[in-house]
Amino acid sequence: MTGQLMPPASRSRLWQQVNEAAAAGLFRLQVCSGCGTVQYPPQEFCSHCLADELPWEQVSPMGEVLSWTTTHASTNRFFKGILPFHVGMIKLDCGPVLIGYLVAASLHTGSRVQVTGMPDKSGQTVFLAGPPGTDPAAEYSKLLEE
Amino acid sequence: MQPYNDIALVAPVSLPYERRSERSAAWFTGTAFARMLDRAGLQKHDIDGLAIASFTLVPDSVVSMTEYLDISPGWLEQIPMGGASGPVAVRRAARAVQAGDAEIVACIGADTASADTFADLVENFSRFSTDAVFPYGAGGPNTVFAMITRNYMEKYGAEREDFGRVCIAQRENALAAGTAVFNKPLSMQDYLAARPISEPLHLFDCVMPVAGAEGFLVMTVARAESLGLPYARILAAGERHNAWPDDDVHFRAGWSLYRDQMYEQAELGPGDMDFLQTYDDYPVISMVQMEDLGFCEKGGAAEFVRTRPLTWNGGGLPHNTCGGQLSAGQAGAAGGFLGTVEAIRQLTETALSNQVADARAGMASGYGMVNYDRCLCTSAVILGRGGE
Repeated sequence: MTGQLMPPASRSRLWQQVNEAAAAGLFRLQVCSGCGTVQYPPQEFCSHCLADELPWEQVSPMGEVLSWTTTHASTNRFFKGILPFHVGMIKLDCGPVLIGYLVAASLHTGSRVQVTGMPDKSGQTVFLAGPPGTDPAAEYSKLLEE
Repeated sequence: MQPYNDIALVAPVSLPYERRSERSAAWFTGTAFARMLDRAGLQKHDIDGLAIASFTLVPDSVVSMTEYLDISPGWLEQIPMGGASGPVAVRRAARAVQAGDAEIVACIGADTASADTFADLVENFSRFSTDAVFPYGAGGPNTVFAMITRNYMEKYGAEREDFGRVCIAQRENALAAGTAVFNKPLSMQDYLAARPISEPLHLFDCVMPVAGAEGFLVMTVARAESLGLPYARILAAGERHNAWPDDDVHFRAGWSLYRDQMYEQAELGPGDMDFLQTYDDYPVISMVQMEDLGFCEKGGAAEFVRTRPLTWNGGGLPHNTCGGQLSAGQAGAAGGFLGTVEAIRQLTETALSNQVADARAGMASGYGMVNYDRCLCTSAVILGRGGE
């Protein structure tokens, strides 16, 4: 592995929960025990009711593409090696807006997508989205852990 | 809101921007400070208030700067609002002078740029960004604003040519001012043929990170007049942060919530503005400001820029009269001061060969800090020519 370029590995302490869910093949986000608001990105308290009990629970991974971009440039050496790639804003059915990699088949505003968390080459979970029931991994093999 | 009576903005200073610099943000801050004193004919110990905005001054701060400059101010402010920091500095400093907490406040936005500063800044910009944006290509604001731009195009029918009009007019302004890093004319053909960065954003939609500094002094009108300095007055000012949090995709921001109050306070309307200096990290955001600040209807900016000349001497709405960041480059937090400083120059008739004829009132707005999927900070000021 020496000398091999890696995607950014830095995450907050809470991200470990995302990694554990992805390893179990589950889509889990924080759900406020006070008001039920689903949080993403992870927080230490609920942005709606300010309660600080936010257990990680399985939620629907389905959503809709709000907007998207095809990236052709990056200052990061790892990402330069996997250009071009697609990134989208996805409105999850459970509430939050999630930024994730998109497969080419989903590059339309309003597309229905399913979000899956997978480990990248740094071992950190990234979210990928594509048509429901399909595997988004094939288009991103250079990004993902082998 | 109390009026900003009798507060003067003087000594607008812009240090020439550099693509890369070995010098620190402290050097840019200190050099801008010296230039402002020189412009105003003041000694450093006359300054008893200091407000600074900078990303790259770390590990130093406005506190460290007092020792480096060997001054002993009684009022300090550090403004962590990036592109919104200029108008916010005006507000903070004006209130301090009005209340008597400080007599003369130096407001400075300054940042350096080395090969790594921008990449480092993007990587550690916020916790949300580290977890949930940076791992998606490390594109920084380009990724997010590409998606904001696409949404705006689909929602309101704006086309790439409309963004091009904003960029091309600003380049004409930059050529007139003669100070910008980008100093070649830009044609629509050049604009449209540019390489894609993060579609629909192409090269000329994006700002180049540079090093530089911008600043001005805030004091009473009486003091400015006794010093014989040309000055601009604050007619109104506002700020709002994390406005419209329930919008899934960003298409409006905080300006829309206080612009009416500003016009009321200034007793002027958008039609009375002799120029508009928007925060132009991306042309779509300048167009959102034209809408949210009341120069056209929401969603109407594409039509507005198709029909209204935006050059300094075009007879329409002079917009980003020194070329803005799209031509000058983005000098970190100094980018948040650029429009305010240019507005003071215009109103004190100290602009270069891009002086808007008979400019009596104008607006400068700010916008900054992408925490997750949009910038959170907005600010704006309406300024008028001094002595009127």
